[in-house]
Amino acid sequence: MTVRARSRLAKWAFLLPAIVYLAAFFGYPLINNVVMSFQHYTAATFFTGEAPFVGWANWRAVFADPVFGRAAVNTVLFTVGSLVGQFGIGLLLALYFRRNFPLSRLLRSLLLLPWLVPLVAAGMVWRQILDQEGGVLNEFLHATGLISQNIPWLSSPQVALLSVVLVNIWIGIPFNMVILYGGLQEIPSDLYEAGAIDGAGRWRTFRSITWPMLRPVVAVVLLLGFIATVKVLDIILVLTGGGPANSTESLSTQVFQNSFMNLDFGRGAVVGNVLMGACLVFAVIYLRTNRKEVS
Amino acid sequence: MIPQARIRRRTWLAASLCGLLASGCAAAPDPTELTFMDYHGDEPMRSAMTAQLDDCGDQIGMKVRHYSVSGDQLVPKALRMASSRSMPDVLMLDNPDLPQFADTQALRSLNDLGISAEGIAPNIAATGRYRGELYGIAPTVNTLALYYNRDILDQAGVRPPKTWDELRAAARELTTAQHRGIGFSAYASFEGAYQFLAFLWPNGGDERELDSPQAIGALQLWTDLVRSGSAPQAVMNWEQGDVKNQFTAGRLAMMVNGSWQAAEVRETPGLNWGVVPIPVPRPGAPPATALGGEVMTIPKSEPWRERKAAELARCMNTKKAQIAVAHAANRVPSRPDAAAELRPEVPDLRVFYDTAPAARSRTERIGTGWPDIARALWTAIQSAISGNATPEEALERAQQHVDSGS
Repeated sequence: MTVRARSRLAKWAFLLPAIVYLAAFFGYPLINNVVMSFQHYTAATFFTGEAPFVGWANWRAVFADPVFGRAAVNTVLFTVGSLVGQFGIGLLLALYFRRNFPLSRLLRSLLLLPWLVPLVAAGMVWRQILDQEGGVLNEFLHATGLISQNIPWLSSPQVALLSVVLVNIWIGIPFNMVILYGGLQEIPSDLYEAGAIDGAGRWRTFRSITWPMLRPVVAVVLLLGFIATVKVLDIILVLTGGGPANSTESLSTQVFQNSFMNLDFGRGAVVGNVLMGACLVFAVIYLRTNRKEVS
Repeated sequence: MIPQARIRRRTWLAASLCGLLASGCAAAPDPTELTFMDYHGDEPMRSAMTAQLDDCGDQIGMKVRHYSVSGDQLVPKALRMASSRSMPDVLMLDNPDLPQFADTQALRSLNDLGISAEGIAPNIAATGRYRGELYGIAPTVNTLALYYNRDILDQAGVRPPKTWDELRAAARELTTAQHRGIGFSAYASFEGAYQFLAFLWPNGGDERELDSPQAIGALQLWTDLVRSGSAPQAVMNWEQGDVKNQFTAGRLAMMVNGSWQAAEVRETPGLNWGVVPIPVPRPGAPPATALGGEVMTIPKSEPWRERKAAELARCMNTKKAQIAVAHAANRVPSRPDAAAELRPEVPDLRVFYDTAPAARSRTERIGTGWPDIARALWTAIQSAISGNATPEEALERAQQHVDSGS
């Protein structure tokens, strides 16, 4: 064997574990999911192993279901609303904590708490807080005279999605804050000094120094935030179960509904594929923008 | 000569391979032990079942391992086990899940194993049948009734309602700043649909025809109760456990709930309560609620294990075993003779015993269609009681949904 061939072999040998891992844990399930969406894959399949191919029947059935359209729109609203809220508040907090002040460390760690609470537990507590009848939030708004009639946070089809978004924002703030805060620490302070000498005001400093320097971190935060938000299931299930009247159904609750309630795994796989497609689009956009920045 | 390190590496590899093989062997069932899987992780049912299973294990000369998973995990877990042929010897399913599971052909017909539904109330035996074949057997069941807060009703001079008209009037009168007249579960889950059947059926409605005038009438009642404020709009977000919490906290004068909630209602200090059958549309109309509870099924395995599992199921289904579990867990035995024997000992649950013979299986008519129909139903309920649609529009849409789905 020539030296060159050997070194090439060695290269592949080093790559092999990663390839095997990716193929086993990403490639196989992904392809399987696509295949499954063309099969009549039901509870019986688990026992008999038979899943006849049915062409596009699952896809047609899912897209003809009005709830699917509703769920797709809700997923967009939920994701955009959550991201805007999480990112906006997270950025403001990160900027705030950048100025060191007494107790800022303590406060910063306290703000991480929502991240540490198990999602289902947080959801259960929020359901109690938002209850229209005896919920703490309505009681508080009543006592302070802000409202005269209880707000049906989770029990009105018009309001429920907003409430679910608000809860998800609360959950997502710590993540956004921590990553953005880390990004802010990386910006060299001499840039700010130079800006100060040039007489840049606060807004100008933010726009010309902080934001451009933070851009790569922002892209990562938004991409990870998107992927984490678009597939949120537990919060919605615990808060509303997709109700009232399907007003908080999302694509992920549809996957759950089709696969694990109706035991129609073929249709569940269709919705799952749509979700994966959406994630893929965003991942590609991210990679492209990143490549531009590097070159 | 082989370097020392390489030998060690080989030993490791061999050891881990052995480990893998050994764990494969360990998965083979223990010939002295039967496994029993259910979702009874909560007290008092968990202890009641474990005690009775131990007792029956002694009688049939096998150890019985009882393990519980959470309610929403039971079916997915059992399916995974089915695909790897490692099902428990006895699987206890929520009764509406039985048709879908029997449809997989993973279950043994109980008649083949010498278990019959003899001695069990016929309406209860129906919860274990699929396409005429007996796949499951329910030792105990539960039903729904109307709990009421005696103090609140006495104070207002209201008697527990018997008909829908009386229910409307009572709920209105019992609604004050401190409490609402009535609560029920209209949550987006099987629980919401389950509770609604107790109003749909007595009105002559049929789950196969959701847009019938009878169904619309039943939904109109729920809608009126909520829209008038006699029941809170929050019922859309209450599971049955939440309804019970509101009731024990004194925020509801009446509630629709099951016998299994009696344990906590009893333990609430200072709560003076009673139970009556769910009010019916017209005087004298028979109450009909949906039968709740679980059925024991026997997944296919080796013949001798199936026979042993059948012995265990038979033992769990004797009069004595039924009474032990039903008494401890506030349920109704499925054998009329067992129920008759236990009834005098549970005065506060008598209503459940008296209405159980009129209760019905959710899947008797629609088989595997229940998940679709239930979903259409709870969506319609929520649309109507939130005021987004009239009961008529909501139920027409529900029926269209069911028709197009299959």
